[in-house]
Amino acid sequence: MSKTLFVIALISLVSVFAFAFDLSFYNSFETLCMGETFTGIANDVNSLYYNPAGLANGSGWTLKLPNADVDMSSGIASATVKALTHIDEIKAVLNSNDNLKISTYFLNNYLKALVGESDNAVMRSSSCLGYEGKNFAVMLSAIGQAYAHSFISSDLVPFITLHAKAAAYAQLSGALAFNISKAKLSIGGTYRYGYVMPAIYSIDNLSSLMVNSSTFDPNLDYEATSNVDLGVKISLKGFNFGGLWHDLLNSQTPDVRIGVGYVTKKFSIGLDFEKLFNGEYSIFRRIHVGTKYTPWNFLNLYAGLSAGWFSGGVKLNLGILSLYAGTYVLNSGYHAGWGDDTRMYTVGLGL
Amino acid sequence: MKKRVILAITALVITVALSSCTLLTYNVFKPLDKPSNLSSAAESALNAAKNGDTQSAVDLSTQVITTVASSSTKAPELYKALTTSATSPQSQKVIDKVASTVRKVKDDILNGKISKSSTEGAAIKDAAVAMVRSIAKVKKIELSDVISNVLNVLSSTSQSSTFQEKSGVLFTTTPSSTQLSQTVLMLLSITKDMPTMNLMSELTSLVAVYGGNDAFNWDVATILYDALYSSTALFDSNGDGVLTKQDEIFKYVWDQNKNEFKNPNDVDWGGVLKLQLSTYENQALCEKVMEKFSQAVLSFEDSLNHLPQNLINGKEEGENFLNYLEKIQSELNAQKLSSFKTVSDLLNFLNALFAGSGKNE
Repeated sequence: MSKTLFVIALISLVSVFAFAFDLSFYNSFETLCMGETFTGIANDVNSLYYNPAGLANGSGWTLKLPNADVDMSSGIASATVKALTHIDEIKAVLNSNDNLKISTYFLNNYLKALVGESDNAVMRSSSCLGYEGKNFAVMLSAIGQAYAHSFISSDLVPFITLHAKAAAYAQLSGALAFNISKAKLSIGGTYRYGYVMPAIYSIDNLSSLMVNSSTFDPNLDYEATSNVDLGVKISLKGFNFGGLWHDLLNSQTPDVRIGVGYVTKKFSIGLDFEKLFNGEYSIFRRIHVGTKYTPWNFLNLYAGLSAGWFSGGVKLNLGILSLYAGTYVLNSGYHAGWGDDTRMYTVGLGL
Repeated sequence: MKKRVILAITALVITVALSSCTLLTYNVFKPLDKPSNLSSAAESALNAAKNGDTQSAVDLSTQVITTVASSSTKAPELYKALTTSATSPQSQKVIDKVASTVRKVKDDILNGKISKSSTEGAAIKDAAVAMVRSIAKVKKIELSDVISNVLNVLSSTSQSSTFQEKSGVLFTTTPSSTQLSQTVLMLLSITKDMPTMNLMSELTSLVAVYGGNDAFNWDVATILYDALYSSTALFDSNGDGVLTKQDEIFKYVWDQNKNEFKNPNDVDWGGVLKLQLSTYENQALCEKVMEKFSQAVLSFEDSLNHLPQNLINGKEEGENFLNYLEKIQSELNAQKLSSFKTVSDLLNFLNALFAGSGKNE
């Protein structure tokens, strides 16, 4: 039993660092803090993921070096911070080779923070190079994402759930824009090719009594995958309407989202409606609202509402360096607030 | 520049403040978007239990189980009952009502009236799991407390042989005196009330009926909850249905100064032996305890059939223990149990039952 407890505690902590999830739909810090709202707004490099038609925005040459974002739910975040600040103590306990002492230590110090609630960890990075003209754009980009979800039930004999996935993609995006009277019509697309490790861990409701030495051996099998996104955007003065068909090559139910937005130099606000053709999702679950305010060039403020959950963040632009922090909710399920939703806290560093 | 730094710091402070306020746990649309059909209500209950929303989980799962059992749309207010005083007769009544509904649903499944694979059947399992997890959270029945106490006992017993001598007087006939003394302290290590433990045992045995890979877990959980019920019934000296520090046994096992269980070496085992059992001359309570004991024996038998591969080596030991339990079951009934005045009487009965066959470690 002591070995089992030790493994449970250790794996819960290790999952923070080692696992990731497959996400062909990239959510940047900005869009997450804006309540996953950007299809209508689509006025900067985040258009790569939410609406490639928005790339034809006249920004000129764009180079974005890889960022490093780490998102965690509160249980994992607090356990991680505690573990990092008690490294020497942990080493001493582990070096004792006393299983009873090790079990008691991890149980009393870490397990309580992790039992009974879902925990998630995400790591992501993206980079791009391209030209965003007023009437055309072309962009090369790369994204990498890693995700882990763990759940240790609060049952007297706990169950363990652990999922981890990772993916890396190279993308080629393009956009064309046409001026029609006072309006501007843009269309854009992205071809994406990459590799996915779909099941580094795929453990569902495993009894803690059934854990053995091979339970947490990772599966690093990977597969190649490719897909296409299509986007459209209509702009009239500051008002925009946008649409995105994501993964159009193989989605059984078309994964379409539409949005409206209003954009000024310092301020933008939008409303997105996702899963347009998927009736399983309730209307409230599909609604996203978000805003961005830039009072000065060095400061961006973000706020949003994603399926009813509040999100927000701050980004400091300090020369070539940007630092940011925020919070959002990872939604699941078909009804707003009724899924296995987890609040995430994110920090990141960009160039 | 100074102004900008102040602004930036202010913005960061606001972000940190926001991260700790209730705004972050509130969903604007949730009240407007409540799942209505059985499947999505059960799934949502399970999700709510997972993300710590115990009230939603309890409300939805109670709704699902009540609807299946009686097609009633009015579910008992279980969450309210769980969060009010455990000694309140009204709360106990509500919890008992839900427990009897759960038992009815389990009987319907066992009788074939409800198919496990039907929409209703699948919803019941999700709802029952959601309810177990949420109640455990609301009532703070924490595994870590139980295990932590056992580990502490293990640490202390391994350091001292005098505990063996002291406890040897108390547990002379059991398969392992050390195991049993650990078990007694484990059972006392969390505050319990009989209606809740009864409900938990009904819920876990309902889920175990579904079989599958996870059946072993639920069998073990059922045994534990039955044991928790029985320990509460035996030692609830003030008869309020709740085992608290006010009950007499805690005089002997609880260190008031340190506010923790005494080291087993310091427990007044002599006092424990003289303690009057709450089941003494209480036929109704004894019948309930025997019912729980029988259910625990059945669950133990089931658990041996559902034993995971990596524990298969322990099957023989498990079967031996089952034989002990079955022997007790065959010789003990409610009337006899009610005749035992003290812990010592109960142990003398066990002594006589296993004279010569037990091993004293």
